[in-house]
Amino acid sequence: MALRSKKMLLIVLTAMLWGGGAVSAQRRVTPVRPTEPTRTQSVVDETKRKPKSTLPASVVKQIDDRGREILVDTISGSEYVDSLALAMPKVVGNFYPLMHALTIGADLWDPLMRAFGQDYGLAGAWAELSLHNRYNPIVEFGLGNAWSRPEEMNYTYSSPVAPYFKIGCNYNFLYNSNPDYQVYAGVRYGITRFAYEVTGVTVNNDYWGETTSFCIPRQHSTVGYGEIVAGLKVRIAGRWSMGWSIKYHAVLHSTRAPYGRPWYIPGFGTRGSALGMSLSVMYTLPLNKKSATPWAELNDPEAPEASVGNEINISTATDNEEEPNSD
Amino acid sequence: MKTARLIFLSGIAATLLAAVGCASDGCLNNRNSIPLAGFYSWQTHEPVTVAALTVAGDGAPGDSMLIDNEAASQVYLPFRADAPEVTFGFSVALDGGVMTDQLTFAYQTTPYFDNADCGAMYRYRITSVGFNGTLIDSVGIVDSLVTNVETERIKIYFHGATQ
Repeated sequence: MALRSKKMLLIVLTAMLWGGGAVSAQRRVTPVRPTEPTRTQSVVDETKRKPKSTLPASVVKQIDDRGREILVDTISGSEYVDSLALAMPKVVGNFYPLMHALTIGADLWDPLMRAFGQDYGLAGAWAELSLHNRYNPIVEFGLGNAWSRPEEMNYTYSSPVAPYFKIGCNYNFLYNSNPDYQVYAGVRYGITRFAYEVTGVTVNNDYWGETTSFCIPRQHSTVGYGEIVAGLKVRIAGRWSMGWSIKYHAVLHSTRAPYGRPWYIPGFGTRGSALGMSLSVMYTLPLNKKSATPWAELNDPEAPEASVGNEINISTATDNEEEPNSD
Repeated sequence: MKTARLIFLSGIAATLLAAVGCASDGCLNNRNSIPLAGFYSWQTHEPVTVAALTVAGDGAPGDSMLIDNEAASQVYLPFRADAPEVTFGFSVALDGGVMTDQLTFAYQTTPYFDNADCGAMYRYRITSVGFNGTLIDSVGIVDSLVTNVETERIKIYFHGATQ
């Protein structure tokens, strides 16, 4: 009896299961049409997000007695130094104002070389305007002369004192760095009008047994020349600096010379070499109060001790302003 | 910054030493303007060597010769600075005797300063050339301005030149 009951129960359960499946298969599926337009959601590329501030939560910004923003750790009570920001931050654009400084310099090269026996060159001075500590237009004025009677040669070359002018521009590659130190390249155009003469010439003609003498009377010449300059400038003390440069120069135009081209050209040097040197001492006048830089403050012995945190904040504050809220 | 100053001062010292120690390049050309003449065959216009040739300036002191009975393919012909023209005699020894031609150059003389190393000298502008005899067929002037640059400016074409 019990076995029969069990069989009946099993048949009923099997029938229910089969019947339920058949009911499900007969259900109708009604497609659902959206009543609103599909919304799109932008996917944020997490790799492109700017990182959040690396400062610990306990660090807050405060204003010190000099009005500068510093970072203070509220747990230890001491100033917080952000080691990641110790390296000078990259500044986009020009760090220094347009009218940054005026530098006046004097040429030491020719006087020094004359002391070593050079037969030409006299003196020169120049003024350079620093624009953003980057573009430095420059004007130069000088005087030059020459007198030479080489040993074992047959002539005396002389060129009286004559002026020269140059105009050009330097580009400072360290324009967003300490202006006390510059590495630059530039171009110049120079022009000069001068006179020269060759006297005491003796020519021996061994075959014909003749000795003749002549002189080339004073010739006037106007010469224009170009220079490509590369050099260094280093602050020596206070506002005094020194700099040296090497230049490649070439004559661009000159007066026709039927009796021979001039050997010495004021401001250019001699025609024999395409390279020239310059050594200058210079004095820099700041033109803008903004010229006082973090480097100037750090180098100013009379100023209160500047903290590294202040130096960092000048730039990190700017960075933080530009940084969008990543939240 | 001390490093920068050290580099700067070292640069100055090295530059000064280099400038002070820098010697002259010397004269890359001649210190006189002497025309160089080359010998050519009148038939082939090719360079030739003339055997048993003697060349001398007309009126040279002591009858000194530029070439003395030698085989030659070129000769320097020095001009006189204080004369408007100069004559050279070209002689070739043959079996039957000596044949001599006269070659005359007329020119203008100009003093000229070349550069500090080569010094000052005369330059010559050849205005005319004349010759007579049977050895020389013709004379060509490559460049009438005679300077101190080493180059052949005169071509002398010989009759029956050897080689």
